[in-house]
Amino acid sequence: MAETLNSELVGSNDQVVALGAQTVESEVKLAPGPLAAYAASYTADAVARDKPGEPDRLFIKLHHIRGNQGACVFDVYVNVPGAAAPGMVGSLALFGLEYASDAGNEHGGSGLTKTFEITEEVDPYLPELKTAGKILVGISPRGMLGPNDRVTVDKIDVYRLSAR
Amino acid sequence: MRGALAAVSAMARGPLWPLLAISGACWVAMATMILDSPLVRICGGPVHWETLPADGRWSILPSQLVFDLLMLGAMMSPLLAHNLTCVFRQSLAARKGRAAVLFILGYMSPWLVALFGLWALSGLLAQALRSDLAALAVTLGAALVWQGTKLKALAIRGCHRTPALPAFGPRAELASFTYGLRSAAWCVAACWLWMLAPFTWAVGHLWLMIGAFGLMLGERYGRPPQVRVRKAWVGTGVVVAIGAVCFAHLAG
Repeated sequence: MAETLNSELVGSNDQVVALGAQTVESEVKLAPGPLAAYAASYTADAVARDKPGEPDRLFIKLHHIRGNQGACVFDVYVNVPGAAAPGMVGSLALFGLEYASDAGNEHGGSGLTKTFEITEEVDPYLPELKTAGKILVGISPRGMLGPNDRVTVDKIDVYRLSAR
Repeated sequence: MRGALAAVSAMARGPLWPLLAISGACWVAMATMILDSPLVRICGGPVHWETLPADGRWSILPSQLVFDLLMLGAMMSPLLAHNLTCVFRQSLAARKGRAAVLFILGYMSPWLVALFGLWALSGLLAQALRSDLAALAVTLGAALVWQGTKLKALAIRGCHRTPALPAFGPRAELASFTYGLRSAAWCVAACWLWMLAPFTWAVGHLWLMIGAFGLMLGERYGRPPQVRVRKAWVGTGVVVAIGAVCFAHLAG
């Protein structure tokens, strides 16, 4: 109910992503203001080992994952354009997907929502991130998806959790 | 009801406390209006259709509009905590205020139309049954029937649905507004008959509104009901409504 006061939306892909048998990649655009605030949190004090505090942390949130195939597992990758290879941030296990997608369920078929921390994958490439103003999120199936299997992600957001 | 109390308590302690403050202020303003003005001139009922001349109907519209807005503020603002949290969390900091305003405008539009419709419907009911109490009983009967249907359960579940809102550009503005529209549409579908009840009986308007408010809070923040027909409620509702019609017929 209560809003998490120190978290802030940084960016979004603003589109539905249909997952398939191949890796799907989506570009998440970051807003300049929150991105600058994130970059500014990397002060000398915040990153010093011998001092308390830490820089802001980044998370991706996959909103409203819906579909009819809850048995497949997907790996989620994040890549900063201009950086090295994508880093894996976690896996999506979609247990309960069919029920969560049913419009008649308690939450009106809002689907599943999953969150992954991406700070470690992104912070080595802070200069590239500031230049690009976006990150790429890749979602790759670990198993087989049949022709009638359907899994969609309504939106991918990036949030910043302030350490202050 | 426990869910509603927990939600209200969380609202009071969290950043959404202004919703409760708005609700309280609107309840006080409504009570003041009712005490200062002849109730029937504000709350509709048969007086709009039988007693007042045609010009008089239009001249009281501003009071009606003010009262409807207060009614919306009092009864609906505490129901919006979940929706507004969803809007705030999915909006960039720079446009959070704008997104909330657009959502609220979207939410109010269908409700204002619905309230005028309910106002007219209560007049028609009272005119047809020639008794405020019979109109109230028919409305309560119909509300019980509606409460027992699958559609009502689906409407409540629709109220719990959260969309994925775009973050950038005109699509974000439009989505905030349409989310308000959709939420209000589900809300109207879920509670229109409970909202009709206060319009049918001017004397008990405030108490019926408080009752409807409690019911709506309980439904919004409690566990949504299963989607099935509740025969006992439907049966009771039919008996109450038919009894009221028979009573009105015999009394008339």
